[in-house]
Amino acid sequence: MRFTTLVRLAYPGSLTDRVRIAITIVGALLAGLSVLAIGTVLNMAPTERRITLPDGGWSLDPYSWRYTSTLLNESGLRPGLIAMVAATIIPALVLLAQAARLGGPARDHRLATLRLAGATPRQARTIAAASQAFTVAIGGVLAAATYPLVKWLLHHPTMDGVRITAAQADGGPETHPYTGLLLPLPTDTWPAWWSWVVVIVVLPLVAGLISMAGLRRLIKSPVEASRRARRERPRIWPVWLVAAGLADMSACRAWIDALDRAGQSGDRLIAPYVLLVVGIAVICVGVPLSAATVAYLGAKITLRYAHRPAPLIAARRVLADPYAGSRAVSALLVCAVVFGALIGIRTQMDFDLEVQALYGQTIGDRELYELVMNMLSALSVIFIGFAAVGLLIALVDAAMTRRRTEAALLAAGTSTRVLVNARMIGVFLVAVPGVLLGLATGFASPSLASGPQHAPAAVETVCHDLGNSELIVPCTEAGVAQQKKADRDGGNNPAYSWVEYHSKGPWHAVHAPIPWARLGLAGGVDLLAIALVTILSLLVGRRSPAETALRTT
Amino acid sequence: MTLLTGRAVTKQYGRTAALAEADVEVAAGEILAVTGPSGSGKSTLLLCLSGIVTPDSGEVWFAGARLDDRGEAARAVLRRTEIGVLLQHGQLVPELTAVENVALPLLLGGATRGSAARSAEQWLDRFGVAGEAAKRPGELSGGQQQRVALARALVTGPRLLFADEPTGSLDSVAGESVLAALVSAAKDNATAVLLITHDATVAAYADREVHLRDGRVLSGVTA
Ligand SMILES: Nc1ncnc2c1ncn2[C@@H]1O[C@H](COP(=O)(O)OP(=O)(O)O)[C@@H](O)[C@H]1O
Ligand SMILES: [Mg+2]
Repeated sequence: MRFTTLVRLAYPGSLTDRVRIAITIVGALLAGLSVLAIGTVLNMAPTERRITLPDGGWSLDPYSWRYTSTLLNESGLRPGLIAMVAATIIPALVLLAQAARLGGPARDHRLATLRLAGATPRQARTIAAASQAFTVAIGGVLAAATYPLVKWLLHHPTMDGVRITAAQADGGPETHPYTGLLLPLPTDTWPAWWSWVVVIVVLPLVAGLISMAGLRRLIKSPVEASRRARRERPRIWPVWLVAAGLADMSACRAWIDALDRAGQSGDRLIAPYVLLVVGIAVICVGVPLSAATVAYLGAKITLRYAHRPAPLIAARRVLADPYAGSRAVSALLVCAVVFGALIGIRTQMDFDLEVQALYGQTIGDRELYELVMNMLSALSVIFIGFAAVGLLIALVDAAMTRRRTEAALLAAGTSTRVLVNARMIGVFLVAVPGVLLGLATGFASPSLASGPQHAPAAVETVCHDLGNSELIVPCTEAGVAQQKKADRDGGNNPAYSWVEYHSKGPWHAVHAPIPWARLGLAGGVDLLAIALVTILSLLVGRRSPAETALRTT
Repeated sequence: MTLLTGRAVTKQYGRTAALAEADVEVAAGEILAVTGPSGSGKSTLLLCLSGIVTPDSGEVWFAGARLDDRGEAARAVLRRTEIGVLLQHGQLVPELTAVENVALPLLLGGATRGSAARSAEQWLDRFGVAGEAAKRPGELSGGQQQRVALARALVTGPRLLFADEPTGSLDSVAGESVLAALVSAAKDNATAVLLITHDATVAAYADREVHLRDGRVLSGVTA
């Protein structure tokens, strides 16, 4: 097989193929940028060094706190930073996986046909792998080309930011904290050399190998594969995968807590945090795979209790191929996991701040936290957009392959409305339980990751008069609130000269309340996106009149 | 001279015995019709004899060499050199044009696009569909699609053509003209044909007829 033949067969150029290629390139671009960001974070020069104090103890010297935020400056936070940056690759990988599934049945059919026409298993595998590897390589090269540009665009040196003076640093005589310009992002660092190799070589190779592995059955015998009936009952192991992911996260939680109690930090925290990210990834994979199982059960129940034709047709379709439907909505199910996780993180953080505020503590970089949360929210909105496009394509794809049966049903007197309803119900049979499962596991994950807060039974406030700080005055609720605002505002318009907080009674574990309204909103948005896309796909599908579909000669 | 021999070929699908110890012989240049009711194992026989499916037991010999115990790759290569396969429908790659579909076995064999396209065009011309060369299968009628598929099955100049109800999805006029084209091309190139059909008028084109029932060969009638 010549190279030109390989390229022609790898890119046969149907509409679905073109969309798949476009989404794959975008996914590979995002994944590439994410890998380069990981390479950058791992390549960052140290910002602190350990110095031994005259009394034999040690402290960290912030000799090179050259960034505006604590997250980048403090070496103890580095594992968390790495985990956070590493987690950004997950949506990109999911997008790639979703794209790879687009037009999957058409591609399988095409490869089986090629095998029938005399392609050897190796040739068929090469064609499938080449198609994916070339496309991912294009995305990788784009990422490598874009990264310097992004780095340059984000390079904004400033004088404002977190600084520590020599006196605060408590580092003894040798401490000379950095006093120059600060950077909001590590734009002074280039990605490690290996991350470029990963982006340009390893990602495409892995993508090719994965698409090869997915073809094993099909390649063996062209006819048996294309004829073989789908197994009736979907497998149960994806549900275990979700359970394993949650178990992994709780175990990591316990591990991190134990290390915390033992006063360990830095390098020793890397392993549990990496495993934590693995747990999240496992859940992200498990939920869409479980959707088929859940949809199958839902269809069984529908079949038992429904009497109208539309739900019956929908349930029959899900039972006939439970995977087809879940494949289409899988990316939006991952969106549900991501949304759930973001809500969980936000709830957890807000609750932490609230509990700490009870006894007057304001630790943590509030602005940075807001920035990160907003960035993640924006990312998830972009992500849901991609997922919706993916679903639209998958639905139109499915509608095309079902044209004949639907035309036959129409000819047999089934009304269009029933068919439209059947498609809607078919999608929702998978989507509703999937979104619920995704939101629940997504929300549970960060709660598991951060554990409960500890709060005193009661907090007593002692307020010192504004004019005479020796004088203790009764605290008012409004006054305390005003004081907190002033503390945040850098001392503007205080109510007292200061407020003391005394915790009373035993400390106990407190749990964040479940934000039902937010979860409901996220689930609603996700399901609404699915509904809109389904309606849109019905409008596209309408343009195929029954006569063309029924034409055989 | 015997070109293809199937001895006690058996294939089981779950509990269904699709093929039970079938014996078949095809001589070089001969047109053999395999008839039988639906579900009698005709397609399974074709798949086993052409090396697309491995039989559970029995032997298949092609041109003096054992075929059924060769690897997938070797059998695939055979399909694009010495064996042509024509099914009822659905064997054209929907995304490729008619001429690319016909050129496919040559391209997979390493031919350049130019030379493969030239041979493909000649065969399309021979079957009266040269005008549709640039169209995709979806834009062709069923009869035209089968002509394109036939051109692809013969483009490599195979010694044996397997045809599984090639006119089964066509109306009788279109079916007959495809069949006539198939038979005359086979005779011109001395290509043997194993022709599966449940239609007596189709079987009349054959030199010899074999009848299948419940996966067993009942009779070998010489026309
Ligand atoms: N891939 C398969 N899986 C299961 N059963 C099959 C498969 N292919 C054929 N069969 C069964 O084997 C028997 C013979 O089928 P087939 O060879 O297609 O018959 P024919 O072509 O004569 O109509 C039938 O009962 C059919 O249901
Ligand atoms: Mg048959």
